[in-house]
Amino acid sequence: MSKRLKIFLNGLIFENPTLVIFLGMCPALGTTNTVENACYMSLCVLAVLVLSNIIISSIRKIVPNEVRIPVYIIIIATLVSVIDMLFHAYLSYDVYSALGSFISLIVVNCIILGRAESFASKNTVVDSIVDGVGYACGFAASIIVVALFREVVGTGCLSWAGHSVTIIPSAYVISIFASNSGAFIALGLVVALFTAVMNAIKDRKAKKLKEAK
Amino acid sequence: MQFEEILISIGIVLVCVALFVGTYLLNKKTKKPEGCENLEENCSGCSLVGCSHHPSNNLEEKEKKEN
Amino acid sequence: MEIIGIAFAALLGSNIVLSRFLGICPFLGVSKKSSNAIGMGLALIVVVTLSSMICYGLDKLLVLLGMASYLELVVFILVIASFVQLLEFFLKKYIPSLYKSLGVYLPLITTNCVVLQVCLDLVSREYNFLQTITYSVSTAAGYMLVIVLFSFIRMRLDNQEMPKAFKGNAIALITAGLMAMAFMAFSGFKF
Repeated sequence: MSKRLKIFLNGLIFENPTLVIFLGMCPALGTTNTVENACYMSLCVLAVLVLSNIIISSIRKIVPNEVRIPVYIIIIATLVSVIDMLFHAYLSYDVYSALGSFISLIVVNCIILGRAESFASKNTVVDSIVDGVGYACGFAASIIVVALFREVVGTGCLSWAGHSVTIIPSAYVISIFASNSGAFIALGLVVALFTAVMNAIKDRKAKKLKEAK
Repeated sequence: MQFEEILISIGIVLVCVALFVGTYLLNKKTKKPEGCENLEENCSGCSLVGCSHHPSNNLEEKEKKEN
Repeated sequence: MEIIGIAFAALLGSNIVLSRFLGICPFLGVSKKSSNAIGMGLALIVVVTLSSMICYGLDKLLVLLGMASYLELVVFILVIASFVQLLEFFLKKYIPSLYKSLGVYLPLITTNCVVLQVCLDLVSREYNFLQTITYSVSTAAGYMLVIVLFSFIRMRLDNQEMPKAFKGNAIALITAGLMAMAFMAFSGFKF
């Protein structure tokens, strides 16, 4: 059990795709203007990542080594097309038009192809599911935090499906965060915060080891 | 959705796959010896494992050569 | 006049990196040295221009067959990937000097959002051939402009003192945000 927990935590914290290894940055900047968009985007990435991990892990023994990458690309492209059409049918117009091009770009998202090639092609189906869920949760956590920061500080209110709650009165918002350049700055600040926390934990562990000696 | 349309679309995808596999194998067979080892060091090692220049892909080849 | 509008918008006004957030992964990864950035930019211009021409033809074919809506993504990505492989093979065999300078970045461009997005854009905006070429060249030139400028800044940024948590990509992202703010000035032009 602890091996699977380790795999899950690896994707969630230690190799968080957005904050540590910097893959899949394009949706992390483009879809974080509202929390709603970030949630739907992370749902999309979760679906594609888990399904592609399952499929690739189940056919890993049958696929010859030379044609691995084309096969992975077809599987991921088909999954993304299907999920794109599903989202187009069932999401509201505003959310879909904000997400629109980023869903198609999940095909070339480095997270999915990278996980498929480095993990799913070498491990069992259940391990790959855990890995996919871990990485997708890491991605989801990071973009929802950035979106929360951007929406609350940038526009002052949180909205979901048309209803909105005002948290900061509009005279005190820092509206740069609602615009394009604010996305970069907000993500940079969140990365710095995360790195600071991880460094502090590492230093404390190193200190404890030294004192134990 | 007529039957012929499904068949033609699967055919088109298979043609594209064959094209990709063909060019991929063609590419893998030729190697440029002049400074090919240096190229990977110059490319400041990112975490994109799908890239053919990634060090983890070369480790497998080097192990095969040693064996 | 419309061509100039398309070119200006793709190059500066709605720059593909700073306004549309595409191609960020190589933008952060390759911009640590200016020589890498220039190589990446040039390789991208070549690949984007040629693949957009190929995808233009493919789209006409798919629309003729009536399968454009669901087959486009799969066909585009496979054709772009095989085109990049073909280009790498061609450079290795016939123009080795070009392969030496640009060849490293070619596999990186396959998973780059810019190429796929340019091809999807020219389909959804229904450009004709001249507009396609203008759009793809100026988009890639805009990418090259931004990544080269960014690498100049970043090379100087590495030697500065800053809190340990900001070193590396965090301060790079904040710098990119400031660049995006500067480029916002271009979006106010009207033709």
